[in-house]
Amino acid sequence: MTLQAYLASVSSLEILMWLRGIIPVVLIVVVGVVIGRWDQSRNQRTLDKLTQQIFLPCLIFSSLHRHPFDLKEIAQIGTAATLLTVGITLLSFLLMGAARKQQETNFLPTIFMSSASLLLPLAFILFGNQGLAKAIYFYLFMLLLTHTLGSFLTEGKVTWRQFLKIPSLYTALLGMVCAAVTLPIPAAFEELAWLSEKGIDLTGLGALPLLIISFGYPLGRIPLADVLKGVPGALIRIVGAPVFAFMLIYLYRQSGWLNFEKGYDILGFIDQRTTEAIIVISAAMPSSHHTLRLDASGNPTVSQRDAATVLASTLGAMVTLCVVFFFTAAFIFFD
Amino acid sequence: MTIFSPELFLIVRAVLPSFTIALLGFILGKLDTNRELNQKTISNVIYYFFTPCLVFSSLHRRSFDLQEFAVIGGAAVLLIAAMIPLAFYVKRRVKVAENGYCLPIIFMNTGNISLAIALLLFGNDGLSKSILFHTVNIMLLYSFGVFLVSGRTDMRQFLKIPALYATVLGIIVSTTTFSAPVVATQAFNILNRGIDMIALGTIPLLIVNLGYSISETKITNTLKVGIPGASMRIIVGPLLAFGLVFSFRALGWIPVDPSMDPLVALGHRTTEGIIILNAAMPGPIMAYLLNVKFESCPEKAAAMLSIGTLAGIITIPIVLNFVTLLIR
Repeated sequence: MTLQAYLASVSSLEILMWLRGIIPVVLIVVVGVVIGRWDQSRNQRTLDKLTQQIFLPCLIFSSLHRHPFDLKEIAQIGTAATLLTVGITLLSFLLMGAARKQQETNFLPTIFMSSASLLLPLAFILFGNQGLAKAIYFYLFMLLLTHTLGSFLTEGKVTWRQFLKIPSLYTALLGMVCAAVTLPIPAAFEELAWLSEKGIDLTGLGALPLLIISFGYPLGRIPLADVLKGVPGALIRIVGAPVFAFMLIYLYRQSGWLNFEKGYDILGFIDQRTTEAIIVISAAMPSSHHTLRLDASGNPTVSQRDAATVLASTLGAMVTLCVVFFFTAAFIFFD
Repeated sequence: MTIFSPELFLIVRAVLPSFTIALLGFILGKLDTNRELNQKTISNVIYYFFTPCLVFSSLHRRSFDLQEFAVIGGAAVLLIAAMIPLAFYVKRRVKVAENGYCLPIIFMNTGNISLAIALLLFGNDGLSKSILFHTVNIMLLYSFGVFLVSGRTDMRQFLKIPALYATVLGIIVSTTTFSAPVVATQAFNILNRGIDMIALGTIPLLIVNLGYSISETKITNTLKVGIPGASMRIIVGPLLAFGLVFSFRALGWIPVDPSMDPLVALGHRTTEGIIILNAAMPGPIMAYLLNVKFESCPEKAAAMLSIGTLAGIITIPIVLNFVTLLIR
């Protein structure tokens, strides 16, 4: 189907499908903003720690252990995450190098997207566990890049020790091992394993709203008047990055790494299209809220410009994500 | 070879995941030596946002039955009323002066573990019934409970309970049928998706919060006053509930006619199971927090909660085993 034909055939049902994905997430972000404004303790770490140390590791294990382990898929997503990050870093230096020299920005909100807080719930809503698992792979690579490239940009060194302390890494490894290897579990322990899995699954589901709320929490503390200062960084983040991702997908297809032949394996075809969609949607995410830190009085500790980039990219993403969904459906699923 | 019989496995599979999640919260609390987590933030988030979403999400999608509400609400009121003289008796025996000591004996922790067990054991029907019980329990806790610990009634606090409005809204939506424009229906469905998503996280967050709270308590000094209160709650509570359920049956409030439609009969047995399950719960965290707020006896309340929750790992499966016998 050509793009023109697709545009002509786009029905209110499809629009409704995208809205059903994005509006609930936006509503929960607003809940997070309200909580952040109203919480007198101004303790952003509470929600972050709760999510990062308990709920997210459970969600990651719960998703990965039931998703078929495929090294090629991991390589495709990992390469995309790395190329995207490197590409956006170079673009940031090219377009905003002067601002960095004047210490107005450290580039982090431009380079690093919200690969967990918004991406994981959206991937789950739009594509179920299949999309969630792929989004988790993307998130894990972004974690690695944050602690290598990100740390290098801000501190001039790689923070391996902090990286290795992240609980999600280990539950991801465990999940992948469980998916890849059929462990000979004695029958007597099967029930116990099933019971533990049930508890982990239940906890994992709690991660989805908490991730979105913890994203919204610091946003309400950024002055709206500063938003224009963040527009350049935000444009690179939410417009430049998805354009780059579409180009990357095109290259993947041209090189044959992602097969576009439908053939007889319809499920395999949909799986590859989901991989592409996850790469594009990940690239289109607004800045990561982890680049913001609030001080004791609730004000962001990063530069005005970086805080504004997070806010501007979040506000802008409400529009650009709809456009990206539209093009994802047109170019990826309908070609 | 399997460890559990099919009947026991049904119970264990409902109880063990809840305690596993509580253990995660407990470990987090123990590892958080600098107390970086602000528990007030978590409690407020649960109280003002997550619980109302769970209440609405669960109630609005099932038909509201006034008789069922009367039976469950009535059971909650009667169970709480029956525990009052017993709580004061224990208080006198252990020579505690503060009235706050009675709160974790009189009231049940209907919002943490019991919701998860109700969901895993009886599905959404059980969860909705358990939420009805929970709503009545917290309303009484915020009215009579506050009066007991502070000596004054505070209707403003009562009217500030967000779950109260979520319950009313859930019941209105479930009972009202009118033809809304398509756009309004779609907007409601989208809004509802967001509410459902938050609701999804409520139960694990409640249980993690419970585990985290328990990790903070030091019970060694207060064991002597904690054990009698906790025992009264988790042993006498379910016994009273069994008596109440049989009384309801004898009065015909919960029919047991063998010729009844099997699905209707199952609904009645679920109601009985939910009443007994909630009565078997240890004291609520809110009882501890009210003791803190009104400077009554928070250490003793915390000891009762911790002992009751730990002992619940054993007593709750036993009670549920009797519940399955009763339902059969």
